[in-house]
Amino acid sequence: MPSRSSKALLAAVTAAALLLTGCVNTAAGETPGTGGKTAASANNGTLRYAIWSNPKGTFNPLLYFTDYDRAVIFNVYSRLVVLDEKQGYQPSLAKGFEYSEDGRTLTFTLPTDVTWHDGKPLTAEDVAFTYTATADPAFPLDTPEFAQQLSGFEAYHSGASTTLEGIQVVDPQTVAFTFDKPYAAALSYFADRPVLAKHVWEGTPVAQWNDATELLTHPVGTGPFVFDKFVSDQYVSLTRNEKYFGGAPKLGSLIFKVTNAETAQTQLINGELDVAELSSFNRADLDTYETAGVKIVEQTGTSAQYLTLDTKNPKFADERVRQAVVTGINRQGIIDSLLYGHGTLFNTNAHPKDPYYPASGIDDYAFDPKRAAALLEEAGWVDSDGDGIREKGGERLTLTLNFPTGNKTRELSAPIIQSNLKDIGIDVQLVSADFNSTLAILQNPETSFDGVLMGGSFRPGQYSNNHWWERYESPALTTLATEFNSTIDDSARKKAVGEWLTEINRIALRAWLYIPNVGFAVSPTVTKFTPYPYETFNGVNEWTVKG
Amino acid sequence: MLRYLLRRVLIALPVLLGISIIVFTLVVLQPGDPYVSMIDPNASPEQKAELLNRVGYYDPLWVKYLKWAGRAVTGDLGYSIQYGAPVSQIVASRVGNTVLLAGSALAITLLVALPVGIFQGLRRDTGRDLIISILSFVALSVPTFFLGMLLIKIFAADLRWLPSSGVVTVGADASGFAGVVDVARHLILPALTLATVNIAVCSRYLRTGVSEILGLDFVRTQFALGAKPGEVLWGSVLKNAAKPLITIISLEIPALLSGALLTETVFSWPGIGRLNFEAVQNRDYALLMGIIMFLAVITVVANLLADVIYAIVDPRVRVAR
Repeated sequence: MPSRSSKALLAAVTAAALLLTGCVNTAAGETPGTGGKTAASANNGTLRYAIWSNPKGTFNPLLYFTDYDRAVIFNVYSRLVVLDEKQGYQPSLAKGFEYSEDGRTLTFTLPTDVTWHDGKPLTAEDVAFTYTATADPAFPLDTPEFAQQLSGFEAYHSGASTTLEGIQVVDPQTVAFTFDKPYAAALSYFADRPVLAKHVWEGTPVAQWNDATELLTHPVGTGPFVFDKFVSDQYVSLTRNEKYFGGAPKLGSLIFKVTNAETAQTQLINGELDVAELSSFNRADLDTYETAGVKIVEQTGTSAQYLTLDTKNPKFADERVRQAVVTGINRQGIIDSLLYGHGTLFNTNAHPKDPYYPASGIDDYAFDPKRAAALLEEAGWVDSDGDGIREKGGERLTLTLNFPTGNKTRELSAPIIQSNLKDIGIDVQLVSADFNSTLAILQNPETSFDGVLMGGSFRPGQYSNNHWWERYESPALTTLATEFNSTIDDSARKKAVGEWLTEINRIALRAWLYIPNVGFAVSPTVTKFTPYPYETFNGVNEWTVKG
Repeated sequence: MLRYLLRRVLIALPVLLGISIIVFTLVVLQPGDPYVSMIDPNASPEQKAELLNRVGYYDPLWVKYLKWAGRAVTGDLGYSIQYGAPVSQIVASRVGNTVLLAGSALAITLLVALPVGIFQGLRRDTGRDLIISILSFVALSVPTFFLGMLLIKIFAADLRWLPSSGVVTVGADASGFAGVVDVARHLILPALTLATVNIAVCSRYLRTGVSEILGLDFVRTQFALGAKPGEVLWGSVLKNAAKPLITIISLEIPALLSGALLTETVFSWPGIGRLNFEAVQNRDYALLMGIIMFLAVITVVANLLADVIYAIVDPRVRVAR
């Protein structure tokens, strides 16, 4: 008995030693090619791109809801139009697009030679099929605003009509979308929702799409990469589409590896990863990358953090109190200390780089405790008992700040906000909970609250007049929104959106905090990685990685 | 013996029923819902209500429970809300990884703890025993995630001997023997991390067991009668000293199988622990219930197994019943 167990121990130790030495042969940075293809322009490399959470395997462009599924979908499928660097729309899968004179009809022309990954040709029927599904009464998610704008939506959605008037196949290469009134945000929808293959999905009723595991996890698209396999919680691998209409990718394969941000740095340096989003702009981290030769690519972020205030709550119904909150928070200080300066301030419900963001006439709510104090006093909140906290009519000015866990910077910003607001006489209580619980506060219109820290992504060309998280509605905003939602004329839209954003800024609908920059750590073996906001995979077919 | 087993199984059924009711209630009463991330944040409350209504979100608690339980007894654990795939399929896809990690950790634990614990028991209160004891306490008190990070720092970042995350080298597509080696290399660090604490616990129990039994009359009598030390050790001492280990290991098996959340997170190991955590965060009721019931069954079975082994090893247990 003792000899047996010691033999086993010996065997284990030997095996471990073998494994340890074995690894020297398969050293870091190894990138095996795919097959023996020797296309002159191709380098056949495998690029491993880090993602922080498992994709849900919802590889259907209409149903995905995580950024990780989106990354896979945007490489497997293609979109009619894509965004350029200036947030303008460029034809991609479509050869071209054109608005009718009255701005109600948008017509796309398609190329004749694009095929799906399974070899079938792409036609206008595929496009019509894709977007008709969003108006289907059985569509498994909420009906997109886009679908509701289509002519004949009501009739089709209620079942009164079996065809959707607003989507017409003109000929195999032409498809037309008609809206009840000019709908400028349509292009933004097309840039976000790629085209599905009709022959793949038509056999499954729309109501069952969300449960069609086989179809969802084996996407067939027209994009630069062909889906290879999805190993849940480990990786998604894609291989080059030789027939990609934009030119065959130079990479042999693109792999999305599920991993965690804490060890990403080690993995990049160790050669287990090629591209990873930075989790912090900490100088020490950046130095470590630099020493290892890892490149840092930085761009303006598209997702913003803000403090949502309940405007129905008597304490925050007065816009002066909300203005005081924005002015009283040292937002630049948060950017400097928590993001090491890698962030942008914003002062209304749009990205400062948005072409319609007002160039002038909006309050920058620069950090100014004196101004904040004056605003509060004007609103009737005074510290009458000298305890440092203001009162009005016997009620103390308290703010319960709910914030979700999971975003380090956001968590750390809460105590800074607490101390800033204390200085102007607001007593802030911090309450943290998991993301889902915190979001539930905002999602239920019946719930009253003080303030919630939340974040969200801006979507270019989309300006939502839905302020129900803030429990806010105003005729002034609605009039402006109706105005810009019923024209596609750029200058008219710019003016109306600008006025709408200015009004939102004036009433301090939210306490806008910061927009963190997005950085990527890129292995020195990778070239042509040139993302810009909203289009991380811009020019992915040109990317290379040295073996 | 058979009657004893049967009775134990019958007792297990109401236990499982109770667990399912309590857990289901707790899960459903949490604020938040599984659809928050799936629905456009700009969608109106009416739109959201329409969707939630369609999926039965507004059903009373007991209706939801009966719907779930009705399917569950037939073996159908339903569809994960977030993955759109059958729960049993998702759980099955992770169990293999968890068993691999847990099994390796348990093997390492036993391989190290048995000799170390016995040695300590025999050489109690010597200098070497003291040194090992100190090391054990260090192992017990170092947090798992820290140990994991430390191992990654040493073996992956500095020495670059071992990979730091995942189960396989992605993109390498190694198969056959190369594939086994690849998995094994990925397994070393997480298995060591997970085993360290367990080694300390098990060796402490063995140390105490061995040294106590060495002092008992029947052992001393055997020595006095001139029995060989090896025979006494294997025949009497170890058999008795190992009994607490049966309990510890049978409790350890469900704990290991429920997934080591921290270890799995640090090493991006695709096991049950991470899946469970994710299901809680997303309020994926179906998936969460599936995992918890799976673990409940494992726990009940492991306990049953421990009782049976006890009955075999120690006849007094059988007689007492």
